[in-house]
Amino acid sequence: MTLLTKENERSLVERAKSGDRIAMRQIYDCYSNYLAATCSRFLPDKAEMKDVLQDSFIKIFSSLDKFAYRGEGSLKAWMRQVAVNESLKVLRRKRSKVGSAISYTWDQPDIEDESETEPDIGNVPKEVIQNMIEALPDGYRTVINLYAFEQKSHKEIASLLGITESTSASQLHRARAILAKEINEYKRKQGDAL
Amino acid sequence: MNEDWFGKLRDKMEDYGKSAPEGLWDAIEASLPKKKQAASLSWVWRSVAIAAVLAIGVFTTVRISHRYNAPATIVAQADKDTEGDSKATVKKETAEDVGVVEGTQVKKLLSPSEKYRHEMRKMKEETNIPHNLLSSLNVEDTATERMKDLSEQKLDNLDNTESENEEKAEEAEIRRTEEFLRQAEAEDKAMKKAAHPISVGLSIGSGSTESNSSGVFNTMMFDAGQSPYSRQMDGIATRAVTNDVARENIYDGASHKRPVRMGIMVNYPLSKVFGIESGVNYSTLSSTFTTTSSRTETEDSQKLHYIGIPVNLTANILNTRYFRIYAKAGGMGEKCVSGRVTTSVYDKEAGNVRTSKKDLDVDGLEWSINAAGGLQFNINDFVGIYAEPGVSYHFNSNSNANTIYTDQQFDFAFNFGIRFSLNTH
Repeated sequence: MTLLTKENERSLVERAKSGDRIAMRQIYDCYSNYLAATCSRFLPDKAEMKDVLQDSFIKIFSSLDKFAYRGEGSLKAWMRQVAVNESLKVLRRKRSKVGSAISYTWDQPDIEDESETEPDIGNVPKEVIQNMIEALPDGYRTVINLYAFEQKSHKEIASLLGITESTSASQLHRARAILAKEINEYKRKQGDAL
Repeated sequence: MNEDWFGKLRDKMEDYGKSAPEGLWDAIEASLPKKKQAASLSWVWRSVAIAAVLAIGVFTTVRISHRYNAPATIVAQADKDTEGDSKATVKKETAEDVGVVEGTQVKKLLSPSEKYRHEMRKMKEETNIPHNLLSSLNVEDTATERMKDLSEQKLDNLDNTESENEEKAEEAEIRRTEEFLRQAEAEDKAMKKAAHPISVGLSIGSGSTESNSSGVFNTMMFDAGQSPYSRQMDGIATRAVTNDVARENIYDGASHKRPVRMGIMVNYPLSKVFGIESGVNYSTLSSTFTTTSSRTETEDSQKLHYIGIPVNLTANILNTRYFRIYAKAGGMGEKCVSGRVTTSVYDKEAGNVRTSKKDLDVDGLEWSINAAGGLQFNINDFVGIYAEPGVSYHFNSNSNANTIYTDQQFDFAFNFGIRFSLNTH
């Protein structure tokens, strides 16, 4: 990425800070797809994802004053963080609204082989992986998102979701096993097809 | 647990994007707070600028009519920045992968079994934790920490100094006038003898004074024309295409047209050699910004109008009746008095174009320093034409606008015009 992109981004941020709608639109155009994917991993339901993405962008634009440009990638990382926080808020709201009895579905589907080997994901299309993650049960999905993508520790996840560290660890373990199994199956299918 | 595998997963999905829901931007825009209007301020600035131009115009008229019978100098000038359309286009990439979805596999995962139900009941017990714990969590703190980890990247200096050789034309012009100059020098000697100094106090010791020695008005006129060159920088769009991956590019770019400037300037001589020059400048800065994403192509045409007050120190290097060489250096403060941006958003999916116009309020002052050389030919005692090639540097400002001043701080400039002299004798 060249200087001008950084400079453009920096200047876009400055313009957006002063309320320039065009600059905001440009920021939206650049990052809406990326944030849509991030939010979808937390909230696969389209309506929920749309709501959270909308709230995220409103929060991003209204709190740009607090954002200090720190070079390439900093805007993206900051926006992502806002979107993740907004997604977690929705998950918490959902949980408290429905009540603890059926709030987070800490589902436990069949895991016959927990020692499923971790497959090479190099050749698996990103969209396939995205769909597999979105299809995970709420609890698994949230934990694997926070752990693998947001790089939170089990301690942080436990604190964010109001669960114990051991729950977080076991959710992650199962999520990984399901994902690995899914990917292996996908690859086998692809191999058969060839 | 293989941490490395999660790392690979993260890297793999890092740039993944999926289409944002339709109509989302409209919903976001509708929810944004209305921008505070600083219309009154820009109105004040506009009024000040108009008043200043009018005042100087009236002053000039008075001066000309008053001095008309006396030898005097007025200058009309057009000013042009030689730096052309400085185009800078950068390609930025994000990736969107398109792949085959195996929906059936995914669904299969979700079908519960007896074991699953049993486990779920167990999990419910485990996760039944008071919700008030959640309210005490501070997600923002971890976010801030993460942001701190982002290393600040030094900006590379753009080596963008390409210069147009304007000198050839000038040299030719100089040769053509050499003959003329020899004649001029001879006449000038005779002229000196006849000249009556206006700035008596300054000419002590010289015994005589030369033309342009008092009350010089520069009336900078207008500028138009093609750019001497344009520059385009293309970022390298890396094509890391894997077997089943189609990439989506987002391009963004800024293109700045050469500033168009006109103004009126007064030169007051401090001595036979040195003078001080000031006045009012009006500049128009036009830029085009483009952003292309998977769904939209956005083009913003920005036009900003600046009023500037330059202050220069001038020094005569050679000053004869027909020919004058001088140098000048100084600074200028500029304020944007009005701005407008026209935005066209082409929605590829919907196939329509939406155009909107919006007034821009640009805060802050633009400061610059400049230096130039000047060459003037006096057609007669009253009128001369001149050309001033020079350089300028715009300082970083706290202004919120992206202009040629911010994107190209070091710039070449070429001013030309007509100079009317008052008090020549």
